[in-house]
Amino acid sequence: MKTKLLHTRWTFNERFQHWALAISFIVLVITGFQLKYPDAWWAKLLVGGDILFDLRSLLHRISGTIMLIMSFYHIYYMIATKRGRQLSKYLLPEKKDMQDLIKNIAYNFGLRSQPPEFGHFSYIEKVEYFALIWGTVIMAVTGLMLWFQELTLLLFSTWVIDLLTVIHLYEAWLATLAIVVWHFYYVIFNPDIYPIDTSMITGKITEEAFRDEHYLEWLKIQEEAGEDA
Amino acid sequence: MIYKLIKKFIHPIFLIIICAILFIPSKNLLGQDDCMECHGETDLTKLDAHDREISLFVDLAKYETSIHGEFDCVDCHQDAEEIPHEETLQKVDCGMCHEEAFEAHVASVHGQSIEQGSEEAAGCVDCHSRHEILAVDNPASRVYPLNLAATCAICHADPKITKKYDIPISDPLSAYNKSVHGIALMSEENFDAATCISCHGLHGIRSMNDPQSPIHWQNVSETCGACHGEEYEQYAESVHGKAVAKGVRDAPVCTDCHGEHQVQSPADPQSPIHPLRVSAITCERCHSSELIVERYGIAPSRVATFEESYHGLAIKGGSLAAANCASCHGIHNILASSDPNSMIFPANLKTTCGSCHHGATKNLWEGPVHLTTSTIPGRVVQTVRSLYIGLIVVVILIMLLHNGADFVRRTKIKVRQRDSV
Repeated sequence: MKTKLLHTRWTFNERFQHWALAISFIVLVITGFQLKYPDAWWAKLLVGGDILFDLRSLLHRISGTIMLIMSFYHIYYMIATKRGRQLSKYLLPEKKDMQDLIKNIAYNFGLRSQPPEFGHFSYIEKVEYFALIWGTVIMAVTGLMLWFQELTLLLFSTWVIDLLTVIHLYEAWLATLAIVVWHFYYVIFNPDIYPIDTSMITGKITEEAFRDEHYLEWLKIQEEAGEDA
Repeated sequence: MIYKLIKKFIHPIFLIIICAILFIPSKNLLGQDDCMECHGETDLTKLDAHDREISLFVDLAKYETSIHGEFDCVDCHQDAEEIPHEETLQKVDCGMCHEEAFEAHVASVHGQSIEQGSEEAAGCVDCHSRHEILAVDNPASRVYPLNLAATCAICHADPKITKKYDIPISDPLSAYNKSVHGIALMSEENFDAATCISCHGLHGIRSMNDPQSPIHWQNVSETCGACHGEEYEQYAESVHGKAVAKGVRDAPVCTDCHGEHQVQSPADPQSPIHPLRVSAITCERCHSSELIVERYGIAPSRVATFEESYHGLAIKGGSLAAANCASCHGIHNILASSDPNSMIFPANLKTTCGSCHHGATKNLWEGPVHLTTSTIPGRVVQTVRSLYIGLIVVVILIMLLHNGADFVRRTKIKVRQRDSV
C-alpha cells in the first residue's frame, strides 16, 4: 500500500502550463538580469556585442509574450473548464489558512505536537499562487509599458519610465528570490522531498505523500470510497 | 706721363689681376681627391673624447649621390685648410646655408638641451645623417615621411634616453603605428596623414609646456585643426573649446578625448571614443570627478544616472544602437542646454530625441532626463526603490524564517527516525 498507489495531482494540461511558465520565467530572469548586471561573470558569458544584445532583447520579449499568453489561457482554464473551476474553489483563501499558518509555525517551533491538516492546497501553495499572480500582473504591466514606451509617453512623462524600470527591476528580484526561497524549498530542498518533487513531471503523487501533505482531501476520498463500497 | 701710362694700361692690368685671382688656385683649397686619400680608407678610425673608436671613412659614392654631392668637402669642413689637418676639426656649421632651420633648432628643446651640454639631444646630423643626406622627398631619406617616425624613435623609443631626460611618453612610435595617422601613412601611404612633425613642428620642436609649442595644451587643438578644420571650428565654439581659451586647464582639448600618438577611429573597439566606451571612459573622467563637477558647478551624477538608464545598460550590454553621451550632447559641438544652438536646447530636443525615437511625442522631450534625487520625480522614484527594497527584505526574511523552521523540524524528525531504526 505504501508507495505503490498513485494519485493524480496534476493533469497534462496543468503540467504543460507549469513548464511553459517555468521556462519563460527562467529565460526572463536570465535575459533581464543580464541587462541590469552586464558585468556579472555569467552575464559576460552571454552578453557580447550588438547582435547578442539584440538577441537578448528579443528573447526577453518572446518569453514575456509566452508568459502573458499562458496567463490569459490560465484565466480561461480556471473559469471555463470544470477542472479549472474545481481548482479555483480549492484555491480560495479561507479562515482556516490563517489558522493553519499559526498552527504550523507553532508546530515547527515545538509549541504543538501535531502539524495542521491540509486540504487540496495548503496555505503554502495558496500564498505562492497569489504571489505569482501579483508578480505576473506587476511584471506584465510594467514590462509592456516599457516595451511600448512611445505609447506610455503619450500619457506620462519620462520619469514614469524611470519609475517603471525601478518597479520592474525590484519586482523581478522579489519574484526570483521568492521562487528560490519558497517554491524551491517545497519542491527541492524540503528534506522529505529532496532531490525533487516529481509530481509536476509525472502528474502523480504517492499515497503516502498524499495522506501526509493533503490529509483532509485524502480522508474525504477514503470516505467517498467507503460509501461507494 | 706716368698717369697717362697708368690710364692706358689700367683696364688690362685689372683684367690680368682678376684673371690671376680667378685662375690661381688657393694654396689652402683642398680637393675631394686630397681628402679621399685618407678618408677613402674604410678602416680609418680615431678615438673620440670618450676613447671610443669612431670611423672616419667617407663613402664617396654615397656622398656624390647625396643632395650635397656637388659640394667640396671643404665647403663644410672649412677649417681643413691643409693636409694633414688638425686632429679635431670644428663641428660643421649647417647654419652657414640653412640659416632658418639652424636658428629654429637653437631655440628648440633639442638645441637648448645641446647648449646645456647634452650629448644625446638631436643635432642636424642625428636626423639628417652626415655625408649621405638626401632630399626630404627621396624615399631613402631618413626624414622622408614614411621613415620619419622611425628616425625620431631612435631616441624617443630608447628607454635609456627617455629615462635619462625624463620624457613622459616613452614609446610614441608603437602607439603612433597603431593610430589612424600611422596606419594611413604607413599602410596606405596617404601623405596627408600626420607624422611626428605635423604636430610637433620640425627644427623648432618645443617642449609641451612651452606656450609657443604647437602641442602646448592651449595650442594643440588648433594644431589638429590644421587638418581637421571643421571639427576644430565646432570645438572652438563649444563649452570645452571656450573654457580652454579662457585658460581652464580642466577642460578637454582634442587629445584628452582622442589620445595623442594613438589616435584611433571611433569605429575601433579599443578607441576611447568608440560608442560603447565614450561615456564610461572618456566623458566619465571629468563628469564623474567630484572635484571638477564641484569646481565648475557642472550638473552632478550625469554618468551615474546615464549608466542606470536603459541607454546606459544597453551600451554596457554591447548595443551599438543605444544612445551614448555624444548622441544627445554632440561631439565637438557640445554646448550648454541654455544655448539655442545646443542639441539639448529645449526647442532642439524634438530633433535630437526624434533621431532615434521616430514618432515620439512631447512628453519624451519635455520630461526630465538624468533623474537625480534633487528633483521631485527623482525622489518619488527613489522612495519607491527604497520601499521595494524594504518589502523584499521583509518578505524574503519571513519566508526564510518560515521555511527554516520547517527545515529544522523535518530534519530533526529524520534524524530521530534514523536513530530509532
